[in-house]
Amino acid sequence: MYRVYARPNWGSVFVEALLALADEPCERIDVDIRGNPADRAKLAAVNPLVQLPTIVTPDGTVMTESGAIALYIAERARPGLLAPPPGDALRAAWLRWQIFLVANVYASYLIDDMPARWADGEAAQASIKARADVFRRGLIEVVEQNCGAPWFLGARFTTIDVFVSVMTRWSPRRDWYRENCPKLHAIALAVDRMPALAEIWQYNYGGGAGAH
Amino acid sequence: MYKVYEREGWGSAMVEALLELAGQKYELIAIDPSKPDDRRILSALNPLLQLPTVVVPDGTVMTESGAIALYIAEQAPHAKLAPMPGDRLRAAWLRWQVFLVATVYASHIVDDHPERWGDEAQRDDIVARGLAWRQELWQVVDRSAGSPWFLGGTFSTIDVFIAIMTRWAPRRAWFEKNTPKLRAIAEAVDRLPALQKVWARNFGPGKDYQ
Repeated sequence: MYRVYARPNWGSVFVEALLALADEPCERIDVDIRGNPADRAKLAAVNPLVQLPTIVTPDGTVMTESGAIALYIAERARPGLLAPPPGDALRAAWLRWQIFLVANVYASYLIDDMPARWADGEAAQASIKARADVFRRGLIEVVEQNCGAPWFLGARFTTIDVFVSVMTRWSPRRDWYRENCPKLHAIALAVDRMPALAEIWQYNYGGGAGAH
Repeated sequence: MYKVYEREGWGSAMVEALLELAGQKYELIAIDPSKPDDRRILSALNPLLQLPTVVVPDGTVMTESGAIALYIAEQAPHAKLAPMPGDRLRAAWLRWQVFLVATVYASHIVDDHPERWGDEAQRDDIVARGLAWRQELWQVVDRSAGSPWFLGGTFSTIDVFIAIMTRWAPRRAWFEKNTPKLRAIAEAVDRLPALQKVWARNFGPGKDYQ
């Protein structure tokens, strides 16, 4: 049994979705890390950086980093279910873009999620946030240029598609993607509709995936 | 044969070192991102002009040092560059290998390119703050480090990343003082006979990241 520290619409949503697709049972531990000091302490005991996602695997190992957790769940699932297996012609492309999404696109939120870390004063912080948004759009456009159909890697569904669905809900958000990245937007909608994920979307986004 | 687009001392050093340890054949293609001709060559493969960019033997273009490390480790199991699937250290290896690239390495976007985030007057301050943030991250890594290698008795790609990334800001002198476990790992990897050629080329006397 996996234990998943979670918060609606935070990075834990990737893990919950991938575990649901892999048909792995998990216990969700809801932690309000900004509003509740006791929850914060509970998570800090397992992960001193107090990041989500943090999980405990069935063998008791603590894991952080959504990208690492995605790779781990994929290799423990039925071969081919969530990723091209080692030796597959698409393996290198899967690794490249899965890591690109976390180490470039996801990582870029470091700038605008914590503007006070990089500058003092409201004007300077607003400017940094705006610049981060522009920078991230440039990265996302490269992802769009490399995107296949119906899934990112073409015919094969992978963890990347789950990341696309979740990350397109974050800034610059779905309306921007619809206009500027039609291939990524189509993938996001297709993943939204997967019946196995309905409960996960309900918990994370409330009111049904279509509401956002 | 791997084709490695590289620049001395940059992220391509990880790829070079891992290919050496894996006993794989590779060709180095030096790229100076300040030269328009070199930029044209690289942008045909990677429009973001990032190094490392690698063409693997089956012709697939790869970027992202973390992804390339995972790929080389699984392509060359005999080289024992990672705990294999099913090993009790597999989850920890994935966690910290990805942490190093997606959190620590990625934090260089703050201070390597301050011009992206602020005006001239703000830049020194942004660089200082980016560096302070990364020092915090490295202390987390140090607290989680084993001995003699990051994962304890098992050598892995993580150790190679530590040896190289500790040459970048805040650089070795800071690590020597503040992160004794990482320092010990870096120095042990420095001494690996199979990597002497790679170190001389990337970090030898007179190089930018000596």
